[in-house]
Amino acid sequence: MNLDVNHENSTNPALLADLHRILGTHQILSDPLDLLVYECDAYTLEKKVPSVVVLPNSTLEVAEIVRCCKKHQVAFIPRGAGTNLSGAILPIENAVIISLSRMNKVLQVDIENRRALVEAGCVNIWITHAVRSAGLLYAPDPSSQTACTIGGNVATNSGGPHTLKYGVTTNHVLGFEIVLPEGEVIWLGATMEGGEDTGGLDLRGAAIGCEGMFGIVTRVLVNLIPAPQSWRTLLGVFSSVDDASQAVSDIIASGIVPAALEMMDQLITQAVEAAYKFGFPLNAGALLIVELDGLEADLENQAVEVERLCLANHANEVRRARTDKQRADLWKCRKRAFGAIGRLSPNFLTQDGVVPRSKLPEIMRFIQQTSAKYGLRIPNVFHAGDGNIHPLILYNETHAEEVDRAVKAGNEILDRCLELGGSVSGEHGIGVEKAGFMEKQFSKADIEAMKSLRRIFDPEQRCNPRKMFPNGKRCMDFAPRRQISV
Amino acid sequence: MKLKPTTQTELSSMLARASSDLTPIAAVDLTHFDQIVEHCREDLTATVQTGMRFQSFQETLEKHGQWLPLDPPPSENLTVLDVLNHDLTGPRRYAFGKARDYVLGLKVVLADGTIIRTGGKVVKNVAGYDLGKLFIGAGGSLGILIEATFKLLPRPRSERFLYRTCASGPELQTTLAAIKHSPLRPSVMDCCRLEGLPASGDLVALVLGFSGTSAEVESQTSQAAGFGFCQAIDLDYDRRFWSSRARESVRTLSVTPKSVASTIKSLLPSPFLCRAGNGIIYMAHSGESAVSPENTVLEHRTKKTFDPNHILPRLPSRL
Repeated sequence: MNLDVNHENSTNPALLADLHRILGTHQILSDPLDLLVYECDAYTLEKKVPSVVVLPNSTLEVAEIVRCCKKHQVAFIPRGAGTNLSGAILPIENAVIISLSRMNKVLQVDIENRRALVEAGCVNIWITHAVRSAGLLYAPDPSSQTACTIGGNVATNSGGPHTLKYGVTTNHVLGFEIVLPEGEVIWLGATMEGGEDTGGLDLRGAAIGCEGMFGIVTRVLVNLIPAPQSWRTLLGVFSSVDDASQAVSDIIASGIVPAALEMMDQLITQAVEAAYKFGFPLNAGALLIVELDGLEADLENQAVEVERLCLANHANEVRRARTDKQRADLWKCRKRAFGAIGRLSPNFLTQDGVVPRSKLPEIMRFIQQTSAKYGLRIPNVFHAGDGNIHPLILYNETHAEEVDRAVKAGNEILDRCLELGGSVSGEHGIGVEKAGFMEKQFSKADIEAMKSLRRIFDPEQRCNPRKMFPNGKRCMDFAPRRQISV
Repeated sequence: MKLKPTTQTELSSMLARASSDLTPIAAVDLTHFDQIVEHCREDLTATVQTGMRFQSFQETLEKHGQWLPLDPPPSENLTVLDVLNHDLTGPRRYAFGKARDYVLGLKVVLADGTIIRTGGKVVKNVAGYDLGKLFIGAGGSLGILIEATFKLLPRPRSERFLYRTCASGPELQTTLAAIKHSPLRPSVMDCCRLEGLPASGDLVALVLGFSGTSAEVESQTSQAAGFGFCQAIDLDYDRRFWSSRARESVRTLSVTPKSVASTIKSLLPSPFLCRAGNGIIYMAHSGESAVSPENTVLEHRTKKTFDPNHILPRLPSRL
């Protein structure tokens, strides 16, 4: 196969004609103005306007589109809500963008078996909304959960604050329907009517987190869990990030498993407070949000122990959410923290490295040094309990030199994560952004094995090509242009 | 051919040779791979060579108040590799899940001798594909796992197991549903009809287990009494079920939790062991073994990719 990599944006007229035979006019976008929305995801450093976007209404239509792409030997890219943070759905190679946004229904809820069948474009939080009255919820809760779709969650194996205790997407997806790049529709894992074990190879598990490179996920069977009986939500107020990091390490080592354990440093707290007015202390060096949930019987003891560990690490005070509303407000602030960054800077680049939890104090000190070294502000809001950092490197994209410094600072932080025995991505994925890091984290043999797995699903490698793996040509050399102006 | 390598390099060249000579590997003895490579206590992670006895591994972790919350039937010679290759679980699966929920990384020797690593040693990691999932429960059909890194949990400070008898059919169905809708959060929800447990005619034994702090376990135990669970029991019934029969002679059914009661009724009076919360039913199969469904095209393609010369065991059966 010879993909047309250097081609200027243009739609093959024969392909477009075929797509029109499959879909209604309102399901095909090819007007440059309509397409602008699809030029990037939430990773905005690289952009490219696609040549055509299709909006199927059914698995059948997806399969026909995929077969049409095969016939014309063009690439295609699945797209949910576009909240990805690593450029995993960056349009390249004149690929057809297949947006699942119209396939967004909760199809079936089975309370007794605690499962729900939803379409790939269904927004994450809608599942919990649909089952909340039965005392159930869908556990993985990415900060973007009011927008991101379950198909995208499957593609990136999404996490969220509460995955510390409850696990990530792969732990909660029983099975799914996927349209393979050759046009065949198959189901992997458990079915709506079947038991949770299926025997054979766990291709379900192997495909979750494939960053949309194995096919188009169209329907997903998710597992539901009972909502926790009770909770305690604490806010530890610390003078320094160092003390807060040590408290995290001590809480984990103590044997308590919090539902969530999140940190916000002073810079992000000030921005969040200015935006959402929760009443955070503005002079604190770092805040820890610790949520304990489960059976009422022992929660208070655990809460007291967490308070003790915070105070032992020099917390100035430990506050508690007293009402459901306070708790909900606190989480709203945490989950919308990225949105408050606009108050600090026109642009930001977020990293998603992971370190062993005991190395948290060390990586946080390194981030502070990196900030000083590059003269860039780097606020932090992240999943401390998992050792999953999210430094937000602030820059102004109109200063080319500042963009370079931001990229360099980010790379150094990720290099350090690897040196400490960690990973370059805990939940955002590799996409185009971190493809260059794969060879640092994995051996050539490891990467070859991954590529072999991909070819099992997509022999021609037309599904979301040129992502994840380092290419002979850097992405930027052939397709997306760096963003140079707003 | 039986392999008993002393180092990973030796295993690698043994497999490379077998691959080029098209010699099927009958068994691999990893006796020499029996060490804990690293136990990061404060991170709650551990890397272990898979030839280590599973019990020894757990005992080491227990000294530090930690465990890998997988509880395959206790057996002297069971290795970490057995647990991973056959995705073994036990009664606590209801609350704690399966191997795939705890494996952070693997080191695998592929059929051609190539050594690869999947995942890593941190608790959250989406870099690259989740290749590790392919090998867990694959019965060694795609490669030989020699090292695994696990996420660990603090060992529950207290555990208690209780049982009652229950008529199969609608009463069982109602009882299971009532427990699920109650504030009880059992770690074990088993149902069985086995020797040594009072069950006769239409009756089956229903087991609930609670794991947690003493306060949690106590409060749950007293609530469970309201559902008729007053008799203490230990998990020996599980061990006895598995020790009295070869694993190959056990037939596994996987149904939705909702259909557990009706499925069980149709099996009586044969002995069975059921993870009622998960819908998994184990029974000694009588007469000829049931025909399992064919492996899928994609599974065969996977086998062909990772073991083109078919020197490793065949694909695990589908249920």
